[in-house]
Amino acid sequence: MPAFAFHTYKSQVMHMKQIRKKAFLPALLLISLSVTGCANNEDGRSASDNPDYDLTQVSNKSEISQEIANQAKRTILKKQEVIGARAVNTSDQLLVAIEIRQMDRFRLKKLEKNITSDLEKKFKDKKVTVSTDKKIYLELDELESRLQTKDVSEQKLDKETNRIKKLISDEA
Amino acid sequence: MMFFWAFVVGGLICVIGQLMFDILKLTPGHTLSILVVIGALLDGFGLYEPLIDFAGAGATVPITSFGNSLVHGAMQEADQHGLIGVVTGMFEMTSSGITSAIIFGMIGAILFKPKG
Amino acid sequence: MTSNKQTNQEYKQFAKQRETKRPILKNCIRAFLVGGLICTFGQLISTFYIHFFHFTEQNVGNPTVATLIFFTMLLTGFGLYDKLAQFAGAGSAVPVTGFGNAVISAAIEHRAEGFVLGVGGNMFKLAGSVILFGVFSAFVIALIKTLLIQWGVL
Repeated sequence: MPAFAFHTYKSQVMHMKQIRKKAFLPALLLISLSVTGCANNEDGRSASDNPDYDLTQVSNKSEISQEIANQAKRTILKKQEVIGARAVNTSDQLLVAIEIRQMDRFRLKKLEKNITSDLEKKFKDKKVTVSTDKKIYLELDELESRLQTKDVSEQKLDKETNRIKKLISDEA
Repeated sequence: MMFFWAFVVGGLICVIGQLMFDILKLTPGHTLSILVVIGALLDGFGLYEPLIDFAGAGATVPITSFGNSLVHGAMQEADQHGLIGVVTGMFEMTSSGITSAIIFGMIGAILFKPKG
Repeated sequence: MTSNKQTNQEYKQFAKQRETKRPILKNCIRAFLVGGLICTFGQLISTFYIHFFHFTEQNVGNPTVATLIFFTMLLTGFGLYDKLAQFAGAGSAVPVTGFGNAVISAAIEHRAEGFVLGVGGNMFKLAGSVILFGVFSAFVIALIKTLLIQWGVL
């Protein structure tokens, strides 16, 4: 009998420990969720509810108009799977990087293909390259802001786009 | 968001391994071998790449990705060189895991003394 | 007396129930937490390489794995990975760090037998089967898939 009593006490303690652990797990998930949520909002430029906010206003300083790139971004951001876009165009090229909503990332390759063919149809005179890679997104983001603030020569822009294109094709 | 899903997917793959330990009573060697074969099979059906796109390191860090990248390297070479590519391309993408295990194993053996 | 016997039996049954049920759930939670954390750490390393070096999401896997195995070497050498494995079970065995630990711990353990016979001969004692079955199954799968593509089935 005493052994039994002892065991129930022990198992109760165990049980309580388990309960505590059970409560601990959702709490952990909640914390990580909220943390990642905050991190997401930090990039205000990719807010999906206000697509116009995402457009680079290109100053006249740049030699090459970024009107095509802006148009491309406007088209892409209409899709609900896309939560962010960066684009740069040269005289014959159009480079686009997109960020896809997390739950649609299972179809990443398919979406990439669809968007590429959409853009190719729309901008027939440009060579279109679309990437969903985070690295390309960062690179194009940097290039965009440089176009915005500084005077970038056509030569320099060509050089940069070629470098980024090489980075994209390396992944295949 | 990527970090959260890496945690969940990676954790779940480990839970599958744990269930194979506890319920099927398999040794770690058997479990890991089966997981690698599962990873290879999933890539054969084209299902592992979407998982990597979704969960990032949650899918590339577990050992299942070893099977995935073996098949992937082999298929890539096979596309270019036909059947012989299946043999020659196998370690094209996986090399770093095995290479670094060998190198750091050797360095570890030089640096550390065995315990007990 | 009979009631005592009965409770005894009940107790045994009760204990058996608890014993077979409890550890699996507990082990799974531990495996989930530790395995998840290792993968999150891998994601952190990947993000670092993408932001500060010229790696894309596609090819960042290789340096990430190498870095993780480097940390595994340190943990294994200081005897910490064993302790982690006792706590986490599959949570530390299933990620590549488990593969690295199998290779590195075998290398360190057999060092006394010399570098050729000891380290070289035993390095893949545990990890060898993973490589064998990985490579062979990948070979069969890739072969079938290539043949199916060539015959126009896929």
